[in-house]
Amino acid sequence: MGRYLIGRLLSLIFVLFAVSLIAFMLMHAVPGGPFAPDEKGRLPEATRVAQMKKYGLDKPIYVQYVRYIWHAVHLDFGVPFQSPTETVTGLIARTWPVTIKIGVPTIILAYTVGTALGLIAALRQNSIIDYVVSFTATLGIVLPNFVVAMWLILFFSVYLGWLEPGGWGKPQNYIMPVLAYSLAPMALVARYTRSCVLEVMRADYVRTARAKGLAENRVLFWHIGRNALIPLITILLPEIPNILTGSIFIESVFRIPGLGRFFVTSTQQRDYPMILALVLLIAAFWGITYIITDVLYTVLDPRIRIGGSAVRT
Amino acid sequence: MSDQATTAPVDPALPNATLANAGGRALVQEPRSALYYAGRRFLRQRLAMIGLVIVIILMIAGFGAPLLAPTNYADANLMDANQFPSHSHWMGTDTIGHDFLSRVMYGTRTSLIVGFAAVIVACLIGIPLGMLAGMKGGLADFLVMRLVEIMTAFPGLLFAIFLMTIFGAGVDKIILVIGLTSWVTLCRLMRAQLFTLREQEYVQAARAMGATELSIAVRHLLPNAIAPVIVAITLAIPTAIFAEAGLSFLGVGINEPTPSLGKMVADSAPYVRVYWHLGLFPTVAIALIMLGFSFIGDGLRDALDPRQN
Repeated sequence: MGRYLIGRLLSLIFVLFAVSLIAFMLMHAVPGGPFAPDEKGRLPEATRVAQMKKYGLDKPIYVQYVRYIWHAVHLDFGVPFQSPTETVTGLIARTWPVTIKIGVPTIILAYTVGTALGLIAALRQNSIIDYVVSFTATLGIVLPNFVVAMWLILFFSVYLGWLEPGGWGKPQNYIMPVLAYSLAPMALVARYTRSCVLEVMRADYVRTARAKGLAENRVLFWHIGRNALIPLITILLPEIPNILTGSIFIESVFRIPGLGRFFVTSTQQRDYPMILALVLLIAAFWGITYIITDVLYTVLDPRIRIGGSAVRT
Repeated sequence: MSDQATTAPVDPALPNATLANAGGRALVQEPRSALYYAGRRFLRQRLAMIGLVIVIILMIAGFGAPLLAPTNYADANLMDANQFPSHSHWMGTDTIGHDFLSRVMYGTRTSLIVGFAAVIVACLIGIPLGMLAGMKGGLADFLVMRLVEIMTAFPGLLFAIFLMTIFGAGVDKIILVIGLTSWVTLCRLMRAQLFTLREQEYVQAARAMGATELSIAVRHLLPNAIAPVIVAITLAIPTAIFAEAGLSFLGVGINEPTPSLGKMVADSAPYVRVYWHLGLFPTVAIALIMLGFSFIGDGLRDALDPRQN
């Protein structure tokens, strides 16, 4: 197990290096740069040279990359060009909590309601409830969240006039973003719960459990529930970093000052340190979640042993 | 997995086929091709049919826009700006006086063009790479899979935004960018298909009889691997359309005057409290496009691969 984890962590570090290198090369492969003259105007030549020197952009690219990695290993990710009075770490520490404040209720709502709906649909297979849940799940998976967000605004703000169409700071500001944001993962959870439970219900050990006269509740929770959980975890855990790194669309529609908008502003303004930090943040978050998922998988299902080829996909 | 050419799919709703198949030779009627049964199963699904109707209507509205739309997408009359839906403007007008119905129709056309073309680009990259990895294995497989791994680790949306800011906005560029960022699923699927198929008995038999690798790939592997790939391609279309709407929504996709539904949604946000129609109609159009293609994709999956259900 320890060996396996070390191997996985090493491969994650390799992936992070590869991702940072690619991002770095892509950023610099493009003509222009953060202080290059553009349509918005030009800096005096002396200022431009001074700025380039200040951020080390006058050095050869491989020197810049080695310097970046050297600083990043020491957890210094530089200064964002778009907000030079703070550090990248400070900027992320300031705005990411806002995104997380939307993300956590989203996860809780999506996973509890989604599991419940999926379970009900599976236990009442082919009933009206099942069809309603399945159809809603299709809608939730298919509709872009900014479309859902717009419909929520049209209904709650314009038609009913109950909620403000956007803003941040008041408890009511959470309602529509969390609803719009949670519909897609909720649909995913409901759909997978349903199919997992249906599959487990047909398993031999469930029939055996019923045949030997166990109470229905015990069969439901002890035999079906536990086993249906296994595929659920591998499929749904990787959704969490997705949700916690924020939706640009939700934050844009509801004017939430979170991390999302920096995805666009950083690339548009050629803010190299911020782009690299965002790329690495997401890649690392994903990688760690995948490792946790694989480990949880083996803990929950003793049939799967780590180190073999079963864990690899 | 069975070879579809020799084993007719068993469909409980078609007793004749089952009977014929069970006897090993035709008792009642000749078993028809797998495609015939797939077609019948597809046509029998209500949601898939609804999806097909939606998509056909949208295609008529979108591709027929130059003939059917009341005005050209760029024609604006400032005197008519900000009108609510009425007899003369069925979907009202926007803030600079475009007829909104025309804008939505042309926007639908943009979505469809980008959706189809981007998926073609993704196929051209993903399918050959997947076949290469799945057929050759070894070093080719290793290299392709590392590339896939890096693409997966790289945040897709960020990558797409980044490429868009490099290439600049525009329909041709967005097609390229979406294609470049969405081939991974097709590649993995193709590779996994070939991995399971190439060890099948009939492939070994063909090899033993002296078939070349190329003829095995074309005659035996491709026809058996293609069904799930077709499903994945169909489901990739709404994903590509979503990507276009999303990138345009963020302002890095398609520029004025070319209408894009995603951009129309973003532009309407500040006015939506009063001019509700500006927010409603583009979102409904996006929702219908996505639903239509998804229903067709789900229906195709059930029709082409009855074992999955």
